[in-house]
Amino acid sequence: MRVVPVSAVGTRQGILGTGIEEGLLLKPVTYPWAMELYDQAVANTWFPNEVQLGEDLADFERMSAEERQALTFLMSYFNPNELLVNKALAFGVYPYVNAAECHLYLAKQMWEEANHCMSFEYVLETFPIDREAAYDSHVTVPSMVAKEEFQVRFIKRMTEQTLDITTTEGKQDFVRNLIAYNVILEGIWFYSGFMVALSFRQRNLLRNFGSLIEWIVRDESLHLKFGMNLVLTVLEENPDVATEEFAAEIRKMILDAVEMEEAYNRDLLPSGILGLNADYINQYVRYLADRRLEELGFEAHYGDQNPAKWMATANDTLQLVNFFESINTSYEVNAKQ
Amino acid sequence: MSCVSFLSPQQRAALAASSADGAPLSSFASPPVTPGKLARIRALSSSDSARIRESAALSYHAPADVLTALATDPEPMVRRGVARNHATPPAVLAALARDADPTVRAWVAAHPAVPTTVMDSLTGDEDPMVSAVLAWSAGWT
Repeated sequence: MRVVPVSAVGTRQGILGTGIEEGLLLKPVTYPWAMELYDQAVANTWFPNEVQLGEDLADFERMSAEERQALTFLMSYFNPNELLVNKALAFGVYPYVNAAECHLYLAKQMWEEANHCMSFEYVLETFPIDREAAYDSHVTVPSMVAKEEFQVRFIKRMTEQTLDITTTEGKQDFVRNLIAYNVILEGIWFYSGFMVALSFRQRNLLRNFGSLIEWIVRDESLHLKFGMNLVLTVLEENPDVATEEFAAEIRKMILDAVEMEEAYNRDLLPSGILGLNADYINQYVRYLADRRLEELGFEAHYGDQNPAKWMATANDTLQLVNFFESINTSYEVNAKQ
Repeated sequence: MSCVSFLSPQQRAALAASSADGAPLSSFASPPVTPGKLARIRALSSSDSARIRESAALSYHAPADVLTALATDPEPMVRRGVARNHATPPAVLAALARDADPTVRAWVAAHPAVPTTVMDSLTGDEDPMVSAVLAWSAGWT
């Protein structure tokens, strides 16, 4: 794994620690990137009702059964998983980070996850979505259950009394949890869902829902950046962590996560909806995984091109973007009709 | 002793009623717009950081004068934010329809409240992205 230089000049002993009395003074700021992300996150603050979802109801009425099922499936996944991220932050990240500026950012991120959860609740209450079906599938659809089980395993480890963050093993547990949540869940799996969600707008459906997702992606891109910076900082400050064996394990986690997401997307779109099918989404998933691998210092594994250039700029961060780019492109060519 | 036992029967009944199926969980409302909030957006709009100014440009509560000022920001990403903001006044959208940056013009074409005259002014735009967005916008019912 590559370690990029991240500013860590200061009097503190490092970004990891568990002391309650430590990390209470903001200055001197040791990790300015965390303060910059905090400022950006605060400036980005938004609320669900700023998007007029009700205006999309007519679109919902003219959507096919499969399109509605895809939307239900997305809500089923997103709604609980926004809360799962918060548990990972509360139990697996916040207690082990020893920098006030990072705590500020994490506090804002946790509010954002709550805001996203409420945004999806707003979707459930606005559209005539079968809530029972939405709530059920995250515990009855095997591919969705597998994703949650994968994530829960890492939080459970972070809550065990035996975890000692001062040891190499404890630091590796911390990094594993960050990879599971910030990189895999927020940096690959969520983006895959966002792409499906935004594809409706591509086809002149659910314009306001698209705006809601855009706001969420804007937050998530900062979460991803924070998580990556945190991983790289821990690695830089703790050279004992990134052993060859550990690097191989992290890489395998990401590759396994891609397999899980591919299975999930096949359940999400069993026969495709206009302009979109599981193969198309999974190519995007592999493209995303390669970007995350590279950000962590690994070589790309899959070599897939981005099939959804409309979805994001080259680095997928800080801005969702040019959803226009793809209009009238090969977007619909791969679709099963 | 559980803290629940401190609750009166009336409080327990109210709790049960509040979690009954079908009741909306929230109004999803934003906090009210106060002079302080508007002052904050104005402060963000004059930040040295283009990304922060972009946040002001995208703000749901950005006042018209802030949007008007940000529409001439030197950074295209900020002007794109103004073009995307649903509260941007028609006159500002009309000005942005002549922006040098094609992505700004494309966002104007995608704006849900863009006046017909402004859309007409974009017809024939030489940039293929702008033309594509115009065609896409025409598909909204």
